[in-house]
Amino acid sequence: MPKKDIGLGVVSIGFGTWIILYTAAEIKKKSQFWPTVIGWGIVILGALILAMGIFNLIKEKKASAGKTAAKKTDAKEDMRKYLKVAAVVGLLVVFYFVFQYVSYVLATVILIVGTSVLLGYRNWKILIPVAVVMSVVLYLVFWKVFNVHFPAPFY
Amino acid sequence: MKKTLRSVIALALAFMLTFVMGTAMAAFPEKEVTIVVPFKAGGNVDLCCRIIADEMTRILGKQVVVEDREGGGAIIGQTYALGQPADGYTMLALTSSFVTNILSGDTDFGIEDAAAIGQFCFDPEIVVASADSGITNMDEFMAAAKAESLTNSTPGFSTSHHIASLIMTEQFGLTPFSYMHTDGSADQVVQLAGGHAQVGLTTYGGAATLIQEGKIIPLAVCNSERHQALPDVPTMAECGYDFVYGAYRGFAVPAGTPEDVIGILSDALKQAMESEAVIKAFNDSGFPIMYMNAADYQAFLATDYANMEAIYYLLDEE
Amino acid sequence: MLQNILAGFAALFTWENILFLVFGTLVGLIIGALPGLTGNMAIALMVPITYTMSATTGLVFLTAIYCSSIFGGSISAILLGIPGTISSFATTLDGYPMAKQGKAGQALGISTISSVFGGLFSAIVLMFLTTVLAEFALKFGPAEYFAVAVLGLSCIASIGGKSIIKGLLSGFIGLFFAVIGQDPQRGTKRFVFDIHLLSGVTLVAALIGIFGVISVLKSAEKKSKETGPIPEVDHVWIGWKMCKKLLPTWLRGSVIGTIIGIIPGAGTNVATFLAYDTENKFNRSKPKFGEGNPKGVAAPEAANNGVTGGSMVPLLALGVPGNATSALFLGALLLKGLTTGPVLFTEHADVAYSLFLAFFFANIVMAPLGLFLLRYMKKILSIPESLLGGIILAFCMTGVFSISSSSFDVLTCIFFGLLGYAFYKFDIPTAPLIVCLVLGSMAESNLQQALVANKGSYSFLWTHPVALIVLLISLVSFFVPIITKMVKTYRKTRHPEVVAASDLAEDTSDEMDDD
Repeated sequence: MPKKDIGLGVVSIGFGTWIILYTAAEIKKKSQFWPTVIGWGIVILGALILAMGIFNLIKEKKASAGKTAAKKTDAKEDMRKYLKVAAVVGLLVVFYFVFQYVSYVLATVILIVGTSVLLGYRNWKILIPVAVVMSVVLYLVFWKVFNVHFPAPFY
Repeated sequence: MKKTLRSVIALALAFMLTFVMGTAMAAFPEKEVTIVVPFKAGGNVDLCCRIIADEMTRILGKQVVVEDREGGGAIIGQTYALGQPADGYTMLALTSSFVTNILSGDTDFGIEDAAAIGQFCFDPEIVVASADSGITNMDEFMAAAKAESLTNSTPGFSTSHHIASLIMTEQFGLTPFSYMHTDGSADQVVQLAGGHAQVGLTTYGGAATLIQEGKIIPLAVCNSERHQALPDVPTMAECGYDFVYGAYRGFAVPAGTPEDVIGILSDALKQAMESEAVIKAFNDSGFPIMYMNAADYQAFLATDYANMEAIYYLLDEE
Repeated sequence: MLQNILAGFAALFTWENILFLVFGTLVGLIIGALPGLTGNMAIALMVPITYTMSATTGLVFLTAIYCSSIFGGSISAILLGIPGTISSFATTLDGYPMAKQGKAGQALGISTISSVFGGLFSAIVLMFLTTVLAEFALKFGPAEYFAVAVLGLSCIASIGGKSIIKGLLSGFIGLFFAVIGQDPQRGTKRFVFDIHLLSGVTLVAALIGIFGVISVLKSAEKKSKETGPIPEVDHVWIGWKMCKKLLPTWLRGSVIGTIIGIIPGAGTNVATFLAYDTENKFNRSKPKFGEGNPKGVAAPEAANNGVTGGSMVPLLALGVPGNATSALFLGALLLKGLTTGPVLFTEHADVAYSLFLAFFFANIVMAPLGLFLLRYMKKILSIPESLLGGIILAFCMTGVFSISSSSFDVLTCIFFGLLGYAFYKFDIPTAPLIVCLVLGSMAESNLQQALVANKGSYSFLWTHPVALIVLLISLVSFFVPIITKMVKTYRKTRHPEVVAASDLAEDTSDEMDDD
């Protein structure tokens, strides 16, 4: 926990500093006040989180002196977790491009099937029809009823 | 592999389709025509377009639909519409924001990228004052506005009301207003009626009730003739000030659209604006009809662009 | 008055009107429940259809859609944890935890009855107090708007979860995203990296990203067999006992909703935040807010339907729409050749009063229809989470695209999904981010306007009594939870055993019985 907070503190300070610097460099003077205040707010809060993280880390170190970290084995499991999350995000990005330039239905089928498989669903006899029917229905409903024009053709 | 194949087929089909359509252009329109409104659904421009689309459907014999693509200060919708094939099937609802957006330097398109179809509405600015301000006529307005900086409520930065105020300041040597840019015309008139701002420029529709209630006082109409809903309110010229400005609305298509297609659409718009249904709906909604054909509208846009270019630095100074 | 009401009744009760009342309610419920689709969009689509109807029928139809779509938003908020619109965001905070505890039916039932209560309350206010309250709407200048925005922002202190600092950090990041776009007063571009950002971050896209996309990312984290048993879904009807318990919450929520609804432009969002926060502050019962307290569902739902009637007050009395939806009503009225304002009451009293009554009956119809539909809708929960994930994503992406046919919004949604995931990993609450994103520019813009009106002096902060009072309440609302938390942590570190005992006492005495 404290290690995470230290990381968060550093990231926040960096982000806030970027806001302040960007504001000073790119935004006209008359509109600088509000973004600068926000930037400083984020820097200060980041510093507080960082300080508390370091404080807690020292406390924890003292308390658990002698004990060795036993959670090393989780690293592999963590990796799998993050890979899956990254894969879902990847599917969304694929959707973003395919639905614009190729086909809405194809994009949606890929998204539904891909996500479900990643989440551990394996019943193909249900999955495929659901994905196909779902995407066709969504297309037709949004197009015909809600008058939404999708950028790519139907098929 | 399959994906590439698919896109190749799609491409080929699209190509064939445009080819087929190109040859059949004589019988325009072959399919539905879309009016792109670069603003929120339910706004004034959207409302006008929906009324006209209904009538144009009847005239053209093909569905005319309205599509709202708001965002980016109307730039998104404008860019989208002007980026469509120049075949007349996509029209842009063109307002004064088209010109100001180009001048802001944020657009990829220029004034030459739009070919006018026609104008259907000109909503003159009305100079108004809050009942609490103590200003009751144009002379008092001018005197007060020269003496000190009045608070001026607008529906947003760089809206036509804001720009009209800037031009007025420049033209008559007023003390620059203290602008309160609210979020839309509803907000604007409430601020005036509540006495939170002293003066403003607005169009009739949004302020009608509050004017009738006496909470907002109309001082003058920025047009060559009086407003039909406000017969007792003088024009600026009658008050001794030469000033005509208003929000204009019309249609345009991407430049390069065949002349005959522009002609068909322009005639259809003219017919629609002369139809009883549209006249009634526009009157009821408080939108003044003012038709202008394609050539006139194109010339009007060019003039407006030149005028705006001359005063655009005022916006930057703000 | 009575005569007018009777005339309204006569105009309202035709077969055609009743048919459209029911049909409109169904349409609204379904559209409201779909993430990304709002009642606003539905009404914009339906306005042309009303051209062919009589004035009364058209208004009845639109009213039914308006009222039920606001309520419909709570369905996806509770069942899936995805608020379809900003107005149902606060409902998610406790509704979704309730669903996860197997109380989805109860949560849906509460949201139904609360919505009906709030809606009826505001319909009655609309019917009897319109002209009186319209004057109140005009009292709100920039100073007062600024104060209301600050009051809304002050609730981040108490919805920020365990760590105050992280809650504030989340809020400041929200304020940063609210800055993106044009400076409302000066037109300066700020952080506009893409032209699509010129008018700011699309709120609904961000909201759906942070709640919808992230819910799927979270379930991707779990091991495939960890999906667990489907939570038991109990009855939708909540029983009289619960009704009695929630009555004070409903009243407070409805009053807040109706009042905020009347202030033009303040909108539904502030009302739901405030109603939720008020209940949170006064709440003494367990479970805590944010962990599935029924009051956390009841308050915002009563408030957001309270707004419906409230937002019509300035429209009918002043001819000025109170929010985007009532602007559409204005359009529909104008197209029928009807003018708004006091003239409507004198010249078209039958239309005016049938509109009031339509608000009344739309809410009444909503109860049985809602409860009936929900019996089936809650079955969504029996779909395995692993299959539901993909469908949720497809709905979110399509819904977000349809807001304004913009693929950039889809990208925004994905970005906020990732941001939400990062927040989750670092234990940062997302609720303050949403509140600040929604209210940030309202606060900034009105502060600047107030300064302009006041010749650059901050004295308006104490010379405007309404603003002063609201700002003082905001200060209390912001600092009380922070101080309470600090005192508690201090006591815990000093006398752990005493605190544990008192916590235990609290647990047993304040337990809220569930039936």
